[in-house]
Amino acid sequence: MSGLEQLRSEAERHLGAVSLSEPWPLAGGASRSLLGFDVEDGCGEKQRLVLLVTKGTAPQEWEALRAAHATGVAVAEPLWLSEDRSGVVMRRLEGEAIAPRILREEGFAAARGKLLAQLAAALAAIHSIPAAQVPSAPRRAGARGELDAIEAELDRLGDPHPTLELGLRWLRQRLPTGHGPALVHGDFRMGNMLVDEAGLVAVLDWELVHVGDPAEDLGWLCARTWRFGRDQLPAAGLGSREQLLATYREAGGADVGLEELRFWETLAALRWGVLTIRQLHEHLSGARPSLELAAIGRRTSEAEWDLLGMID
Amino acid sequence: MQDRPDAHELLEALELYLRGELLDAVAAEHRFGVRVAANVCAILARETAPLAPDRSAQAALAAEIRAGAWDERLPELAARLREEVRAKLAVDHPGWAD
Repeated sequence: MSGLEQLRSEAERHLGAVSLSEPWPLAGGASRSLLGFDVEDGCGEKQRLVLLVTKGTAPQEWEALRAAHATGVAVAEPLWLSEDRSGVVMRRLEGEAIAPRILREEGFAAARGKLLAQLAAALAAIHSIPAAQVPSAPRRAGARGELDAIEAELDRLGDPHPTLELGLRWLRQRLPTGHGPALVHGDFRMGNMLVDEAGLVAVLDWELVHVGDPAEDLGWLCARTWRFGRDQLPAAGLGSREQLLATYREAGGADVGLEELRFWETLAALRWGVLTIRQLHEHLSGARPSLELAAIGRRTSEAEWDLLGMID
Repeated sequence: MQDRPDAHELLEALELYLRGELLDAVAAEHRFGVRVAANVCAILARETAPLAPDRSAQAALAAEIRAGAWDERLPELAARLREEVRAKLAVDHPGWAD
């Protein structure tokens, strides 16, 4: 059965759909694609949907989306996991996901006033989800596990960087006691938020969801790279670190201190540095020849500078 | 010393983009110009390939740090690396270190 036939048959089974539009690409990447499509259900109602096609992460994304939706986190309502377990069908939502626009344009000024509190509350809710509800998510051993994974990745890439090694040593000397284990989104930054004039519409892209230390999401959200120039507002380009930690705590999140946040923010700079090298090597190895990936290789120095700025 | 991609690797990637992606996407009157630009990239890539730096000292330092040899002197090491990274950023992204 073709992909489209499969989708038609699944839409019929799950929604009683009688007709299905030709899907069209909404966004894509090397490891995933997003297709928009509409169906008409048995009552003649048009339903706006998206199909997310992944490379192997659909089950954990499906479980995480379902649990997040049931907990009241703003997400696109997940409708079904495709039979071949490669894709997830969700309701299609309207909004803006291009972070620099959300952070700069006048039309989002009111949204910006609310977003930090909304992001903190969404994180607190995600972190409250019992890990057992997302059995397919990888389990990692908190801060030490993250550092071990980063070290292994650096060795695999074989492109040594003294500053990143310094970051690893510095962080290993300061391992926090930690919180959790909790469900961690894993890529919680402005570029993965769907936003409209009124504020947060949905938390997107659950590809990197895992079980670990919830403070990891707070540190990643504060990484300088995701502030898009609004460096005077370290928390996502929206507010102060103190505001983020206080609103997260008020929303039911763990009591994370500034020193602990600093650990995770430093780890975020280290992780971003390793990601730039990984992307470069996808180009250099011939796996994905791309000028964009080659150019990202010259952003490692940004991550190194940010990392050095975090340590004493 | 800059990180990889080396200058010739960036030029090869640019040539690939010009010839492989842009050439077919531009109007007919611009195709000759895009071909010339791709050829210029290829010339510069060949010319700069021998200039690729030797990174063995960097690899040795990275291995020392990993082995814990600098653990008692991390601030001293950080100060030294800060100067090296600042020099890289002067090429890669002027202004990031301000």
